[in-house]
Amino acid sequence: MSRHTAPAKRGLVALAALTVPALMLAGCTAAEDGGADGVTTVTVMYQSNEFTPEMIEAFEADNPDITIDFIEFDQTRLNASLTAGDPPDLVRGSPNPNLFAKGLATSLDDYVADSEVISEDDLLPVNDLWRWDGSTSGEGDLYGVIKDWSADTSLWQNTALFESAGVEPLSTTEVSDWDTVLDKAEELKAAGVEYPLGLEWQWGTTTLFTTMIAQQGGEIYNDDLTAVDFDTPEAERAMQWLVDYGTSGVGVTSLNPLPDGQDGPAFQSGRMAMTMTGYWMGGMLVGDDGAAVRDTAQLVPTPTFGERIASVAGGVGGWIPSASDSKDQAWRVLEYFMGGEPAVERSESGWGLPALESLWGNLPSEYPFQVEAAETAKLEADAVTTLPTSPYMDGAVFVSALDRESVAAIKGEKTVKQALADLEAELNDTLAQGKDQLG
Amino acid sequence: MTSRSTATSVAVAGSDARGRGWRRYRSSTFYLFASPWIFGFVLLTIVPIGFALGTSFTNYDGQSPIWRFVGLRNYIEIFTSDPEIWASLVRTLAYVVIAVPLSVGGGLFLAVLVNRRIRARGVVRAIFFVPSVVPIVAVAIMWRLIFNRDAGLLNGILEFFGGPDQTTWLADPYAFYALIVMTLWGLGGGMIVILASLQDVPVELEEAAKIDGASSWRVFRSITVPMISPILYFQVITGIIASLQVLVQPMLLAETNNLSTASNIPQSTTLYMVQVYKEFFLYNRFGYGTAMLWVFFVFVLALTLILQRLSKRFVFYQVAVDQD
Repeated sequence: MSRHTAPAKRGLVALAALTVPALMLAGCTAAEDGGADGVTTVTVMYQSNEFTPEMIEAFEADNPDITIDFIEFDQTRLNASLTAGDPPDLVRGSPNPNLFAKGLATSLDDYVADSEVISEDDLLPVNDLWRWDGSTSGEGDLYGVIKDWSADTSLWQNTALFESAGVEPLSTTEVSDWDTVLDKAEELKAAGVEYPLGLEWQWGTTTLFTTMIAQQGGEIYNDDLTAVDFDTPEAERAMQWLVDYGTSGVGVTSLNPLPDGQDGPAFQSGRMAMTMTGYWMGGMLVGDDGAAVRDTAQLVPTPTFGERIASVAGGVGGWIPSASDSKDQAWRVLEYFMGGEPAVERSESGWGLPALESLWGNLPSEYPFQVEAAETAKLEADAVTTLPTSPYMDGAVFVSALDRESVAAIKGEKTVKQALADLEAELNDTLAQGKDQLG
Repeated sequence: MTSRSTATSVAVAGSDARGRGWRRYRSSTFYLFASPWIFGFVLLTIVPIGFALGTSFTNYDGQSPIWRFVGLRNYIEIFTSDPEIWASLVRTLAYVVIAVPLSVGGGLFLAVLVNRRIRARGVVRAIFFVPSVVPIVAVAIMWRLIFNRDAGLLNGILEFFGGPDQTTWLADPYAFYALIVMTLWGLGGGMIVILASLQDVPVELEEAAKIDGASSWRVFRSITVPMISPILYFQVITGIIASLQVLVQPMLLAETNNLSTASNIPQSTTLYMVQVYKEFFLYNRFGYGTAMLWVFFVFVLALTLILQRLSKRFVFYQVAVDQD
């Protein structure tokens, strides 16, 4: 008896083993592709404080054929899903030529051409950070749309601290010199100001460093973006300025980081005279925490070492992975988030500048500082330049190496030239490996 | 010997009683019951280890299908052109050399202390032990509040006594020592293990030594410590391995607890595993990161074997003396 039933049982078990996962997978597929009810699920990986449940609810009410499955942004999870070939349909991120060169992002050109919400003419030039033509960033196809932005090299100053120290504040209309800024910071320090100048060091100094080089007419990368050359007077002057800033003790570096992780609270509380925070700070001054300095805060154009160049450090926005199963639907979500009601609300808040020209009329003007900041921001927008970024290196490598080498020079362990030479060697090794990988 | 023979004969007798078919069935029963573990071991241990070994010979970035075999390049880079790795390894060894002896020594000291007949001994033991069961995140938050530059308890006390009031304890070069202090705060866990071993030290040996005129220190040094040396050795070995693999503590203790940029972890607390973390999750160099882990694995294995060999000189195991 048992000899006859055992194979039958094994067969049943095998059948069940095959059937159950197949049914489960079929269920998953039905949910993702919409199935019989025609509803498509778009998976969005973003930050919930930016892409809120209210926005999702409003979108789904207006678009009954799309359901949004929200995932909190997690770089590790994103990497794993990209590797597995099953990424979310819409992702938060910074423009990254490394990502574009690996073919992981979808070109949005066709979608923009057909869109009634986000048009090519309405996209501000700052969105060029998301362009890549196969060899150069800033040109070619568009791979993402910026959520909001700022010329992150712009400074805020608290004129009250300047006045109490007897130091002339920076001009809000004329561009200052970086050396002048440092001189004023030292004067403020001598007068007892706790933090004369913050550079948001904890977020990385590569944008400032490369902007300073570009302002002097220097190059950061060679023509094919496969190597850096820091054995130049422009690079030396930029590094020397960072080292002078660190050794003078006028601000924050990795050696004396702010517990808050950013300059904002120190500036809000009237302990910091200048901070390189860009337009973003305006949003922090509206609430009660910013009341102490609201009347004396001013946005100042990016200082220079020659040419007028302002830079965007992040350019954070949304992109659609090339492996997405629902690109069309993901674009509709992106369109809504970047050009619809959420974009209007953001532009009115003062937290960053809109990436669409049509939304600039919404900039807040409740307080005098907001009106003045909007004027400076418009001036800065004209000076924003897309600095070259290499697809062969992750930006985090540059951030980390520059911090390490500049701190070594600040501590006196290396000369500026040695620090630059070591920085160059490390970055060129990384670039060579990146080139080897991408071909 | 007698009992072993008896057991064998019983097993044989049992087998004979059930015949060939039963023997075969018993074997399959074993594999049936062990299969979840075997399956899990192969799938979750052997396969990942093999995958990691293979990955260490590639330039895999953890996010794209564009990667290729690079031979020994990752290993060559580790040994020839990456000073950061060796700097982080030296820091890690320094951390081990300082933290492990202090942890074990401190645990031994506390264990001996609370092993004495003192008033409210149980309460004292609990007070020493409690920090070791507090979750590491809570511990880190507490120490960050203590070491905070602007509003920290430590700077407040120093200021009260006329010392410097604005020391950034959680940045270089102090962050390394802050990490050690935080590590030592949990040495009550080791105390409990050593305390248990102290209960096994034969009182008659200590009393005999005292009758022979040995001082308390001599009794402790020549009887107590050798008797608990296997436990101390266990503490040292596990302490070394755990300290070599420290990752979370430096990240949680950073003054700016923002891991989005690599520069927020001070260099002095960028230990080896922190460096590995950076390679994986900040630079997306999964191939290189796995090569670092393999080098580390071999290093830890070699260190353990050396300590195992050296332990014969200072670890004393109790052996049953054959009465026959």
